[in-house]
Amino acid sequence: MSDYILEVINVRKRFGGVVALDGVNLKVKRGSMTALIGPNGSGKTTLFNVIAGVYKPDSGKVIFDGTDITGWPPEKIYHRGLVRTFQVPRMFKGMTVFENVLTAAKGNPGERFSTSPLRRIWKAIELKIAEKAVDIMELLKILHVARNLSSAISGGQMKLVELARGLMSDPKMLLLDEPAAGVNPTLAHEIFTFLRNLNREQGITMLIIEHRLDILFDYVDYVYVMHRGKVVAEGTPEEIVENPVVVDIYLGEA
Amino acid sequence: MDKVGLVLGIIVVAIIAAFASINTGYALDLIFFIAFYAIASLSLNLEYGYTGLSDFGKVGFIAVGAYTAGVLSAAFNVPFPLCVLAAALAAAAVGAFIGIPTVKLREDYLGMATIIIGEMIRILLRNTPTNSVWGGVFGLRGIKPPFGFIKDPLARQLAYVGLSVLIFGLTYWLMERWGNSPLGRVLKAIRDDELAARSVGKYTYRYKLLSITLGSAIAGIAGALYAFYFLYLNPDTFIPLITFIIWVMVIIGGMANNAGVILGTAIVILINRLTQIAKDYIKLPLEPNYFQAMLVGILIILFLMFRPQGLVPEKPVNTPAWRVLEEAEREGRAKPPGGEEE
Repeated sequence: MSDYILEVINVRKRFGGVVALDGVNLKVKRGSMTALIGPNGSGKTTLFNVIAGVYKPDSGKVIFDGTDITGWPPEKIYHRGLVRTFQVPRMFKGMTVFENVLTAAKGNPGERFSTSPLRRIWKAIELKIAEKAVDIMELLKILHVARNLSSAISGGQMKLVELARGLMSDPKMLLLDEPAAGVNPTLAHEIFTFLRNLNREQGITMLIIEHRLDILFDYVDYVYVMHRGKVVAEGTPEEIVENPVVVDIYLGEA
Repeated sequence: MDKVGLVLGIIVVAIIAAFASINTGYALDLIFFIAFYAIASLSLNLEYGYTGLSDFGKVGFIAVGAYTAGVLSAAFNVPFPLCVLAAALAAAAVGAFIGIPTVKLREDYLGMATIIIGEMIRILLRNTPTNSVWGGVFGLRGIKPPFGFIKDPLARQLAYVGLSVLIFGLTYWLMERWGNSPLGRVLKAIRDDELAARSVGKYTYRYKLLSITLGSAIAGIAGALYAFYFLYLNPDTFIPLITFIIWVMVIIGGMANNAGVILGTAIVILINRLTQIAKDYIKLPLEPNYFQAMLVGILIILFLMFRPQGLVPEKPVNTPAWRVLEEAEREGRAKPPGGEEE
């Protein structure tokens, strides 16, 4: 098994005349918590969308856990163990928080047209999934809003619902697009502490996009910096803070 | 529990009972129409209410079912149950054939594609030679009544309407089972946000295709029931207006709520019947038929403005999972963070 769970090799993606990704190379170590930073428009979210199968790259490769997943659809990538969250939370807004989390479970036999009318086929697994959902929601402190419509909770809570959905499938790796955007610093630290524990205890690898570097750098092992569709720097948080290129394009701007 | 639904449901039953005490045949006809339209609107609810597929070609699938059953009965003497089965299969096949390229489209484009397909089926049936087996513009005659052995016409009608109500009941049962299962959650997830559904591993294309295929099969069954009720079919019965009426039923009743959709169906049909009766007694400054259409139009605008969720709003998907949540809440695990001050 390779040391690296995710390898992005020379990925290019253009939208009309705009080159969003201009040959991105990046490797994420198995079991690590890696950050992806860069100014707005540098291509971070586009890269996530390419990795997660929303966009097909024009060229280049995405290798996940030893398998070439380039161009796979999102649902297939999910079943392979790579789960992503969205920058702007995407709720199943007609459903409650509880249902949102339940829906994300893997392998529920009651999800087929043929078996769903027969309750006894899926009841036992459904109960197990429900217990897991309750545990995850309790851990993320959203159990008290479980009965609320997912469109009627705060933005921060939506972020947590997304994370809860992601955790339902026991992923090997999470792609988190600004998991602490729009929440207060205390909660942001709480979220990152939680992620770090998850990463250590369950060995879930994480690649995280985040703009709040002051918070982020306390938690991650390794950092990639993107600028204009390219990875321009990489290293430990300490190295990145010192890196003049980064200071110039990113921290200098801020 | 749901007061609005309950009160309106009682009113509907009372009106039907009142009709039954005056004229049994008329009441039976009314009940047949409610059962027929309810099967169709339940099938649209599966497609649109649950899965978010805007199928505006419903009438086309009803026509496919009606004509399949009618031709098999009239020309080939196939017994009633096999005709119904064939109608379901034929409509499902057409639904799948149309679904394969179209369910990938965005909601509005899917609506346009299906409305055209629904019309194409009618125009195709209409513009075939009159000596063809379905009779072209002359229509299809000679469908054999399934209860032909019963001599008394009222008893025969009663038997057939009873059977139709039974099939409607089975449809409702199946929809409730589908809706209140993990499948119901997946379909609603696709309706609410397809990309998010794919990102949690749902093969959304497959679900959408199955939804329109099974929805069409059920519409086909409704069509077969229609054929054996009237024993005569004409292409011009299957105009787009039928599709729109079914949409009104779903919108008024409550999307993704099967009981609500049935209530909506009954209410639209009763409005239709009662205004038909009323026009013999009330003088209007305009043509009463137009007034009826206007009334339905006004109703739909009012609902979309003031009660978009319909008479009986959507409920959470009911599975045993809720018991687990209740238990956790009883154990006091669902405390809001930040402690005691709520």
